[in-house]
Amino acid sequence: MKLKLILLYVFVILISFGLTSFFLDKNLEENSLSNIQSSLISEAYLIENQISVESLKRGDVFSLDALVKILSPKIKSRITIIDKGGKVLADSERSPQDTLKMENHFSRPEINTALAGGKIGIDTRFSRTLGIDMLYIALPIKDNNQPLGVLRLALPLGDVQKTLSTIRKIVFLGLLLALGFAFVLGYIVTTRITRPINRIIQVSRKFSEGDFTHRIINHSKDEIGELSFTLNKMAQDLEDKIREIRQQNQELSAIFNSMIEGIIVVDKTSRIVSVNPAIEKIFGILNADAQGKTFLEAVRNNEISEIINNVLTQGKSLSVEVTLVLPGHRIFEVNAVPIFENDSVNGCLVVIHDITEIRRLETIRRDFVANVSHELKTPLTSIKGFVETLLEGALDDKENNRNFLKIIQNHAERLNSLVNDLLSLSYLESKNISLEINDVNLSRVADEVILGFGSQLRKKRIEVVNGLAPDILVKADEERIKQVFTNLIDNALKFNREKGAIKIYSEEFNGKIRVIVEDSGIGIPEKDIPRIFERFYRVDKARSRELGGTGLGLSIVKHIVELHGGMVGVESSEGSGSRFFFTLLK
Amino acid sequence: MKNSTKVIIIEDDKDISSLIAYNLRKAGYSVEQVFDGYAAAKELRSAYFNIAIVDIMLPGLNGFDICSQIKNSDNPSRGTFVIVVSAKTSPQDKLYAHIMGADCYFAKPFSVAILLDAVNEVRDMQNREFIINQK
Repeated sequence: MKLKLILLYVFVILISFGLTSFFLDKNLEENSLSNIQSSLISEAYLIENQISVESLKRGDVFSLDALVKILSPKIKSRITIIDKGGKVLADSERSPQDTLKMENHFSRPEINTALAGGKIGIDTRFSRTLGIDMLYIALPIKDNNQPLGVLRLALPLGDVQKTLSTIRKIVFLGLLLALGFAFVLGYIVTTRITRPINRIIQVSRKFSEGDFTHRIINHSKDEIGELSFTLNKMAQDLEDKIREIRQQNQELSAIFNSMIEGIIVVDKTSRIVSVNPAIEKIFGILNADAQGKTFLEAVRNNEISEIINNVLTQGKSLSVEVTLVLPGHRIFEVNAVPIFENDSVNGCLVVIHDITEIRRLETIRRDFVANVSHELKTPLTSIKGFVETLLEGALDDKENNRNFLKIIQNHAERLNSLVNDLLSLSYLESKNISLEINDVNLSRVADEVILGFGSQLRKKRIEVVNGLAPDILVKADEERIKQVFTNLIDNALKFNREKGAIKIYSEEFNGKIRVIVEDSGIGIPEKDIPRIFERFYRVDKARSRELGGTGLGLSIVKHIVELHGGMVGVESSEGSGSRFFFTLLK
Repeated sequence: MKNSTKVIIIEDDKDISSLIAYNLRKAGYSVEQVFDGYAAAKELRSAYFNIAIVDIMLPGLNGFDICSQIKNSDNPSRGTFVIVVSAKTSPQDKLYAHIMGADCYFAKPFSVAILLDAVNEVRDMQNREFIINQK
């Protein structure tokens, strides 16, 4: 770049200088030659006047010779007089004897022009006689328009040429100087131009590497300054855009990473581009390991792989429910959407939604509805059937009619308690339940409840020990806590043996009060313990019904305690009794 | 009005079981009562019953299992007419019961009189078939 500019400078100087000096030289040479010619011609006219026609006619060599010898030094030119035949009559440079020996000059171009054409003959020629370039002027000498001879003046051109070569030398020297100057100037100018350009190159290289911290400092008003300003503005815009994009990316990746739904992005060859942490958790893989692998390689699941392939080949989104057995039994809703780029499928976005819990809750609800309908229909069947039987004649069957009525009564009562429990449950489950929280004396509440069970306890000869300290107060809704005690004591009573015992006591547990209701009954098989608080879950269905249980008692206890911010549990061993406990806040 | 038709009642609710039993006995049937799935399976292997009245929700084997056992086994109970009596009333349950071998489906709460009519009808049909086979 720099060298190119310098060479261009030199080239321009060379051309302009060369052309100027060429024309100058040419002009100068022609000018000086024509000057000399015209002055020589006027001298020739002057001399011609002094030549007597008579002596020329006579061929008076001596008088002519004397004339040329006098005039020649005065005009500093060689003078030659030639007759009309071309014979030299007198020459300023020769003696009369030598003159006669000189060759005939008729063939010389200037003489010929003068004699044959009667005009002034001019010629520049190398004179062999003198050994230098000579200018010849031949003037015809006429008498009554009859040519008598020729007067020739000759001037050596040595001086003219010397002057010209001096001028040429000066021009050449000037040229060299100009070239040198051009080189230096070119160097300085190009350096001045290229330095900011180099700086721009450096900074823009940094820009291309993504480093926008630098700016080009150039406040000049020229093109370079404008370029710098534009580049700086571009860098600023780029930096802003990149920051914006980075921020958007961060937001996106935050969403991507924090989504509960699993997300898989695959390219058109079904190779994984990215998976989010939810996927890592679901399939037990790592994003770093999965990237670049096909889906089937990374996650050995045929079903989802098929879905992805379908979407990639057909370009239509799919939504499929997939059940996963490993690493755990889970149900997923898999939504696969094609990613389009220029109207062709370029990949696939898979969103995996874990609906195990939703399905589980649906199943529970469905089971609950089925259970409720079964639990309601069973006593209804008995009531309806026995009433029908009695009406159809069994009323007169003395042996059975009372028994049938008793059965009807039992079932009516069961229906009643079932409806009550269901209403309690639905109230407890409704979101807008409000508890009347007061300081509740647990011991007093337990005593009241125990009192209500008096006759049943006496019948089974079961002893209840209320071991709750009389000063324990808890923050609770008294009516609800009464219900908890009622249901737990009811269970402890129902599943107890004859002459058994029920103990109620409390202990401090993590700053809370833990109340324990312990019985000496049949206990709960270990496999049933995890489900014992579920609605309608019964260890022994037939026995529970016989005892008038609804299967909802413990479920209600759990709900109430949890509404109070506590928790329930049970420890039991089959045959030796159960310990139900619940915690409440002090 | 004694007849030789034997009926087995497979129902875990003792009151419902005795309700059906009382009415059938009064109508002259010989009635057997079992209260869980395993006992029913055992009973069906050892004796032949003309009619089985089966509940679906049973402890042990459920009513569907009992149906299929009755219809697919080599034991004497094959040919037993199966009447399902259940609180399950969804069309799916009814269809499934029929696929498993139920001949007739009563939803709880049912009318004792109608159940008795059905049992009588089955008895008459079976008696006619018996006479035809004898001829």
